[in-house]
Amino acid sequence: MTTPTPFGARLEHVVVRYGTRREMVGDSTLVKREATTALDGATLTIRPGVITGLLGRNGAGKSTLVSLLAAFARPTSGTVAVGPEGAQEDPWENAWTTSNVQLVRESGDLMDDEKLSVSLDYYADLRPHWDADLAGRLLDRFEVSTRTKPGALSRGKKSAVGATIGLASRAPLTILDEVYLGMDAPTRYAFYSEVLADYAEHPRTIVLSSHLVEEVERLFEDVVILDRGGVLLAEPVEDLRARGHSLTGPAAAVAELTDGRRVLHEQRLGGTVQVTLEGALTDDERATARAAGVEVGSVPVQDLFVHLTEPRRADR
Amino acid sequence: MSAQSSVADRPAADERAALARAARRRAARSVRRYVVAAFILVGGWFWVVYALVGVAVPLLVSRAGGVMDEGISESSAGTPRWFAFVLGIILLAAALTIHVAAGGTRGAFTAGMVRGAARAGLAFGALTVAFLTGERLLYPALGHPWERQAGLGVDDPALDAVVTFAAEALSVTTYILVGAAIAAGYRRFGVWSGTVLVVPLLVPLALADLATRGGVGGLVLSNVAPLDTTAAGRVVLGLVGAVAALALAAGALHLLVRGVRLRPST
Repeated sequence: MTTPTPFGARLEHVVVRYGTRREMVGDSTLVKREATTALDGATLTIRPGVITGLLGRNGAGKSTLVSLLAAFARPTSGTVAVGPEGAQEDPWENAWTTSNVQLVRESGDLMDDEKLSVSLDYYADLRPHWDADLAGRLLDRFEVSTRTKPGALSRGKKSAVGATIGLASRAPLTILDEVYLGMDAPTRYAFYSEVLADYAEHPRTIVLSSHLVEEVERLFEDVVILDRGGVLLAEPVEDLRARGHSLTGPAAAVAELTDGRRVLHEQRLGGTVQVTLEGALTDDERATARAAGVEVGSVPVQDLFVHLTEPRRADR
Repeated sequence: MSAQSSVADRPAADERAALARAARRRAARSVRRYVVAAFILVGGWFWVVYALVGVAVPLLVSRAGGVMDEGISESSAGTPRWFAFVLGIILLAAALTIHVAAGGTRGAFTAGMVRGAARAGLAFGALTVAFLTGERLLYPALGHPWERQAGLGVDDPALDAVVTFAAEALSVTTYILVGAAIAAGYRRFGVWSGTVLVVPLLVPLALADLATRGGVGGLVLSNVAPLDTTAAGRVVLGLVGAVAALALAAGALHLLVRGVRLRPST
């Protein structure tokens, strides 16, 4: 089976609003307005052929964004284009695009009252690159029987089915939206290693949305952080890691080194303090820190994500 | 770890168009198979039960020394049509989300639904003719009178069977599609607007019933709008009306399904 060209995606000034509410305006006129703004002017490029981590607090717009890529929804305004570089198209009602984009949601999108095999057959019929052997092997590994009805599966097992569909579809753009929910730790780790192994063997674009940032950050090549419906940043994970560093050491020495810099986070334990600083240190500053007995460290992506999306910071 | 260098070249525009056509065909075929399978399984059970009732009731009435005023097909006017309508609602509710999640377009869903409904309609048309033929033979044998008020009033039994088959096939297909369209209306517009939409969506059903003089609507509406014309005129008007009802139902389904958004589940 040949490996299809990985898909990328581009969103420009995308706004998505859900629902409507009625509001009285000045001259006692009742007007209808859209109620919830899920995405508010999001502009973003997802590079083809890499694993992109999609991070954001609850309600940041992650699920809405990925639903646009898979044509589950349309933007209220703005444009969405999906496909290989140079051939990206609007995915809405575009059979070529949608048959090559697999979005796996937390809900699983299965026929709950039919045997699991019926749902899997449906995916197999529609997915041009479906790998039935892989699906069977993964279901065995996750100990899920295809004779069971999805409605009778535990949340973890249902997530495992979602993960199986995501990998077996071999879609050039595979989006896994919080598929780990309910999985126990061994199953999650098995899933992560299956993602990496299959990605190495069948390169494609994978977008992984997760709250368990610490567990999955090792998979990321690019990171997108959404905040309040907007794109806070979209860059290679190394660039994100370079956005901050930590200093750990005697309080006085650390205070001297942090002078004039933005402190993202500070933790004290007796006379020792650990601070997370924004930006990189120069070689001279690193040498000065070492000489003062201060340890310079990197900051986990999760910590940077938490600091960058802190409500106080966003309000500033 | 970038994978860009190890893959085949991206497909050209004409190749993408061919792939899109193939994807649409695959997707429509899957929906059609799903609809047909559901009708074979659930619809099969319906017809088994319906046939048992159709045989058991006149037998029991005979045993009790009574006489049936009319056949089960008359007294249960339109039951197969309403069964098909409900199944249309269920099928869309069950299959649309997985269809889109599996990469199918809404257009392919509608195409598959129409084709599947047409096949189910043909099967229901044939089974209705078989049921009526069975009644026509059984009732005189049991000493019950049998007369058919519904239908387009063709005297020749063979021709009546053909016309009944066509009228029922068209009507049942319409009922399935309207059921699916109502479910799509709720999906797209929510509870309140979806409920308001039910009223105009019943128009194709009323038209099908009126045109074919069948179902509940046929019995009621034929008194309101009697067709004072020849048998040939009734057949032509009936079948043309049934085709128009089917076209309306398919159009409504297309318009409603094409804009359905699947909202985030969280």
